[in-house]
Amino acid sequence: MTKKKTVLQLLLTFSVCLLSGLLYAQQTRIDSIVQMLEQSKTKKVIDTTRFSAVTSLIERTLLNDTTIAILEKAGNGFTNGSDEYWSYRIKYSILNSLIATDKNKSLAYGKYQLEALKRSKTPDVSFIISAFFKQLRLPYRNSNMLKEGFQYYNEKLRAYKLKNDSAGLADCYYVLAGFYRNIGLLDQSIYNMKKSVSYMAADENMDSRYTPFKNPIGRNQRFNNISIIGIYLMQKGDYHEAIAYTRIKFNEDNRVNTKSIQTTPVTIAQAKILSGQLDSVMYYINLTLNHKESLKEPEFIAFALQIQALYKIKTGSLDDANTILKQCWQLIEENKIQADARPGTIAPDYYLALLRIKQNRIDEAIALLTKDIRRLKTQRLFVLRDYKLLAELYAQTGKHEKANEAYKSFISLQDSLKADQSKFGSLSFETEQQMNEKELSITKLQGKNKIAALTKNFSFGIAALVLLLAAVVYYRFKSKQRANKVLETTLANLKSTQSQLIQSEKMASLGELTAGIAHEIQNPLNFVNNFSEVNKELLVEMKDEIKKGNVDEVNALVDNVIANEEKINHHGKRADAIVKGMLQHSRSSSGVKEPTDINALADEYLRLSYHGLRAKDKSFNATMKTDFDESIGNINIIPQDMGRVILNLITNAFYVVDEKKKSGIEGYEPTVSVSTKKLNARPDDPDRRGKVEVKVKDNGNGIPQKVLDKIFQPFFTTKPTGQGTGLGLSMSYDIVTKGHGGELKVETREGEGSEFIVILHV
Amino acid sequence: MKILVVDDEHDVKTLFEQRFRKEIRDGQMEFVFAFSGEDALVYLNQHEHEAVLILSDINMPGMSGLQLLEQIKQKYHKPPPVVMMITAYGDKENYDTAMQLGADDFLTKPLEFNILKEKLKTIS
Repeated sequence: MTKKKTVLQLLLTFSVCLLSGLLYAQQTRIDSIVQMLEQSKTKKVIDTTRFSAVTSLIERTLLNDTTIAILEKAGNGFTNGSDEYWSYRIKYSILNSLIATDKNKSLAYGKYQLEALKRSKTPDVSFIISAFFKQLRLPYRNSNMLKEGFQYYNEKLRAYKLKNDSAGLADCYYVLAGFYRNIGLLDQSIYNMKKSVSYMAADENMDSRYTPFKNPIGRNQRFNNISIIGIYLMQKGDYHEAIAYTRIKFNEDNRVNTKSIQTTPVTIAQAKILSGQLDSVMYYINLTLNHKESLKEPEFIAFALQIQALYKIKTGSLDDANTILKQCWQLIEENKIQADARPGTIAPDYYLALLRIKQNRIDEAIALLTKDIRRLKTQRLFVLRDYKLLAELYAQTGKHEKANEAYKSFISLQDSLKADQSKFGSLSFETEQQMNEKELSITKLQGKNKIAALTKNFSFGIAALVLLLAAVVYYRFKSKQRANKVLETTLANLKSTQSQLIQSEKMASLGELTAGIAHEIQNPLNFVNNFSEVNKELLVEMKDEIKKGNVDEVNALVDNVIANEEKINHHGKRADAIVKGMLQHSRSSSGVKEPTDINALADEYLRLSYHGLRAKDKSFNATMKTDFDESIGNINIIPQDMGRVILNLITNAFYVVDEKKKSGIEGYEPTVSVSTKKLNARPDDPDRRGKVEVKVKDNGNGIPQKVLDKIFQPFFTTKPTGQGTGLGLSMSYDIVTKGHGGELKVETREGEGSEFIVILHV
Repeated sequence: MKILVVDDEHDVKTLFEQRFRKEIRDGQMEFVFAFSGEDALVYLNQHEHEAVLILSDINMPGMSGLQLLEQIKQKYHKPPPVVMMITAYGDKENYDTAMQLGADDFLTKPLEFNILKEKLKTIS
């Protein structure tokens, strides 16, 4: 063998090694897992620490059909009685590995295992089934297959309901709750999670000690779900309730002396901060930060640190907040923590942005929010929160184009949420209704059978009669109970539907506005751009005239420049007001009264409403008249809410005049007038003095007497189906009377028009 | 050349007078202003024999610029004068309608006066 040949051979071997290197590494990993498993089998008692090291290794390994078969075979060695648990533990890890790498395969694998499990004789197999069943929510949720997910779990829900299987029902409601949260329907998710809890027992003996296979209706899961309700409530802004629910879990953890680290204290702290109760916040946060297992659980610490920073921001310790958030980021980078972490969403950049706003470093805050949006991407509710703040910051710094952009992103995200909501929103409601109907008919049948059987035995005389009476009483009692249950569910469903509708009412009027705004903003910009260019030209001319020593000409030019500057300023402010008005409308109301120029507010909404409608319907046209009492000055109102009222009244007015115009009356001039007035005392009403009146008048067809007393009722609308929610006036009525202690009245003459009058006590 | 500018915003008058101050001073152009579609029609009625070029906004309370355009082009003057639309609402639907109704040009706000000047010069 020549030297050359040897070298060639060596090279060849080397390159083959390189090629197979990757596969080889994967193979050795599987081999070592199998080896570790075989070793565990020889021991009398299974070393749980070692075993969980194996399972977590599986979850981080890319698997294919061959390696899955190898692992399952190795796992099948544990078949002595309850040892079979361990073989499912391996399969569960295989499922988790697939969830991370191949969603469709993971669904197929999980469903296959569920079928196989039904035939298994392993003790507590229902616990294992539950874990597999619930885990399947992840591929559905994380891969844009929510539609299929809703279908799958709703079908199962129906089946479990017929079998009256509490564990299955609890699992289904648990998963559906999470799905609803994903599409932003928090009321639905709270309802479903409460349903889930209602199937669970508080009995301690019912729990299993084997994670992750716990009793689906055991005490442990029950308290876990209760704490999730707390988190949903917090996201909804219901801080008081959130604390109440989270405390239930907190107290339970203390009672059973839980060793593992929990999110509950941080949730309580967060809810306290957000609701403005700043006492003992640090006590709760420190429970997590100083926990014995804190070093092992960086995710929990990062989660707690961002809330600690929020606390520092609220209490004005800005430097501390800065240091803490840096620390938080360090943990995230060192441990590669995802935004969607186990204890909850971790987004230090959002809090850092809040800090920068406090420090008046708005540009940095904007950059941070932009970064945060990229990091959170799929967590739509949080991204919405960020876009909203971003739009406000841009508007505040005068970057209106950017504000508009951020606002557009906000709207389109909100729209995609809304699309999902309308797609899935009513799904479980329908299922529930069908199920309740079935339940009712079953009880009726049962009742009939009972009575029939009893009549047969009537020859037993008095005794049977007594029995029959008892049965009738029992039947009545039972069916009443059922009926009550149905009513309760329907009521709960109605409530959540109502809150959805209120939201869609807000968004509908907002949608109308934004369509107009993108264009409307160009009008003031036209003046700003052109007057500033004119001024430049005038100044160049002025330079010439100065050289010539032409003082009169220079003076004239200066006057022109000054006048133009005033116009630029005026139209700049106008553009600002348009964007601010829009943002104000979108923002959920602060609920705080502040001194507000009611004339400016009314004028702004009149124009916004007009242009919004014009943008939607080109043929729409109406004359607007205004008559504002300048002596009113600022009055104390909640500007977002009162803006909504004015917008509603004006939009309605435009709608009715447009309807009348379309009916083709000769010479009809659609007109809407808005006026404000400071009232004077009258002999019959001395209290009238000092009150402020806002009047929206139309020359439409007026309101027929028979519907007049219904117009302020929720869901009453005369618009064709789909065009009105029937909530505009009822919301307005609530805002004026309950929110401001004012009055909302209507005066109408059929065929001539209507006047809506808001009277505010100043 | 006489140009009738129709726009409900009064600052438009100042703006045009300043941007075209040289042309006005030199007598190349003369501007008249109407603050609504209705006013514009009144002016056109009173000056029937004058050759006028019309620059009109679209979104105005009362008669809209598109209605005005329709009146001028289809019912009113023969031969109809040149009408250019100037609007903040530069969406496709608006553009198509204006063109269908016979608009001679369609410009969007913020207005580029250099472009407008060029166009006016080529027309005259």
